[in-house]
Amino acid sequence: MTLHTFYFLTLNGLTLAALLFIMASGLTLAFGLMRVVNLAHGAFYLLGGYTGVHVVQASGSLAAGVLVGGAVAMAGGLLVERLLLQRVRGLDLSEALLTIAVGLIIADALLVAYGGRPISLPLPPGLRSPVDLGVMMYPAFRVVIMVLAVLLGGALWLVMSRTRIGAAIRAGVDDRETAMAQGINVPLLFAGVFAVASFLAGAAGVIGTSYMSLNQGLDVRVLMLSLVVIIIGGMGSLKGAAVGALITGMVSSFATGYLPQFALFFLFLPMTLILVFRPQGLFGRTT
Amino acid sequence: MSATRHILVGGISALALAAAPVQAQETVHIGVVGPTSGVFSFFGEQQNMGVELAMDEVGDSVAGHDIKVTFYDSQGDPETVVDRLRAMDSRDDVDIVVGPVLGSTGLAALEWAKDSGMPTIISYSAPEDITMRQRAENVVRAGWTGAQPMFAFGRYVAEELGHERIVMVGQDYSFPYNQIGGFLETFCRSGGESVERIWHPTGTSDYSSILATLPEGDAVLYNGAGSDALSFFEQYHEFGIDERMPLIGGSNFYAVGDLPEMGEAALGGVSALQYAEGLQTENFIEFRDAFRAMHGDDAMPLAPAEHGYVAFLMAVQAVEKAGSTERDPVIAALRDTEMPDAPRGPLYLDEYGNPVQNIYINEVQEVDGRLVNVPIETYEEVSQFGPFDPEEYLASEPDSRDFPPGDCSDPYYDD
Repeated sequence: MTLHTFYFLTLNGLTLAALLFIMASGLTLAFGLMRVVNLAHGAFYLLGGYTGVHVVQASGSLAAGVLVGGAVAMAGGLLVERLLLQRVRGLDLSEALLTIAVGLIIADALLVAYGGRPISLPLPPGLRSPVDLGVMMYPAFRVVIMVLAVLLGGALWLVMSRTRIGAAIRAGVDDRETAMAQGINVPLLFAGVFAVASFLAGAAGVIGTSYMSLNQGLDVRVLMLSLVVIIIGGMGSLKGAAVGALITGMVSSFATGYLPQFALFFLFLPMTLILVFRPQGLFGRTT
Repeated sequence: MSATRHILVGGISALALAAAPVQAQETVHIGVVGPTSGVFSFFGEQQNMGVELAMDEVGDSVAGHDIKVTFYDSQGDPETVVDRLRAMDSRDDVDIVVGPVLGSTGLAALEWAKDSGMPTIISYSAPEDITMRQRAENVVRAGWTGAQPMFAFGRYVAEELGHERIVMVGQDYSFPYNQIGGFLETFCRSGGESVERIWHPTGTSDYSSILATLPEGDAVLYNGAGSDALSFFEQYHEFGIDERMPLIGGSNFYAVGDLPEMGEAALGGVSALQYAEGLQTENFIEFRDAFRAMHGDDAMPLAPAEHGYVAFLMAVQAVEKAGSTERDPVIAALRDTEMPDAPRGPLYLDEYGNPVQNIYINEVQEVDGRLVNVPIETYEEVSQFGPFDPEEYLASEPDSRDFPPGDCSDPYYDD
């Protein structure tokens, strides 16, 4: 392996890790707070993606696409949480089935609206051209994705560790009943976290479409990868999501580079090992 | 009393006689099956648009039979296809089946057709064994096998483009195996050196790491279709590999509908198929213009549409020739199909039931502001066995992930 190939594969792994972190951070926070695995998370990725492509085509601005795509997914997430999830709160099976149903409905509606043909996102020329990273030339928007993920991680960490809202979320994660007894409005907090998580899924849909084409079935694949990430990292842990995304991204990149036929095998190998030897995940807590 | 009865009976007989010619007007019921909902609906809709055009041209009746056509939605799913076929046979009295369109559904339909004996004209579905190792007397094909266009392409790439070492990246399932198999058979015997095959699971969206470790060669051949192909195409250009090695395609890469999404970067892309929407023959232009007059200017007839059109005409011709809808004469007539004026060019069925036809080497060009595949070279009368003897071909191993060998110096190519 030449050094150039090594850098190339590492950067590819980091790009994938960045995208996965954007997806998984929302999923893991929502789970940590309410023990709800939102299986419609992948459908929000698609919803945001399709919306974002329209906006980028109309406005020519990727930032506008990401924001609007995220906002539409957030609106969808809020509706689901307020109108549906709240009614079955605490019933694990009903919650899981409900989110699966919502995911299927959204994905099928998008299939009717857009058909089965893949679509791609027309990127502004400035973002398409490669930039010099010192070790090699690398496409600019892939660098942007990495920077975005780092900023997002930093912002989430600041919110969680330095603000009252973050403290309230952590309290809700640790002990929901006690937090409510202290006057923290956990249901409202959860609605907020769920909305942010949906926003991140929608935004990831637009960001991901900038280099992978958008198509039916991607919702399930993206959801699967996000679940792998949070199972490795530990469900509910932000740090876990970051580490899980890095591991998954790197393993996927190097496996695809050298043994593409076994890419899926290697992708699920770390998760399997974690489930066997440390079922709560690297940074998860046993309950 | 008796006289009255006689008159009555005679009257009824006369009435019956008068009514007889009307009752004798039988119908031929043609069932068309393809995916019109779900992820692959594009292909089924294309096929059906082609069939509708053929229906319009044929008119209401053939050989004294009223033509009745019913469209069925396969949803692109093998089990659903078999359900629909059963309904056609036992519930709806269908006489001839046109379709299905996709590879997996074609094989499912073949299995069903073997048991039922229904005259079946497979349209776009391309697994070679439908008309090879698992062939059935009552099943013929209006389209192609995966290897068929690649026999011509392998020769073209070696002889005309002068590429000796090809790096292939492809989707890991049987259709791409068959495509690159056909390619290797002729490429290696026309001066090629090697084809390195890299297989990835279908549904891969990120190719950056495959591109990072891509071996050097004279050209890269992407052997797949759909969203995988589009993602690969985009990332190939993002990383600037097109400046180092040209990108050529398997038959579905540039051909079936993703060109508008690929955009101008696709210009100059070369691939091979038994069809080209940029054909300039009289028959084709007439077909294309009629298609667009019927389905709107935005519609472009692609291969699945033409194959649906041809399959329907094959059914009508067979009934005309047989003069009835009896299965045996219809099947015999179908197997004798000759169509010297098909839109794609002349075709006739070989004794195994697959068309012998022109293969076009196509280049993506811009024509009237639209990206189209324009033929730049024609190989005439290519069969599903390419230049090889049918019996020898059938006796050899079917194409797989690593067969035939990728190294052209292998003794396999010595004959």
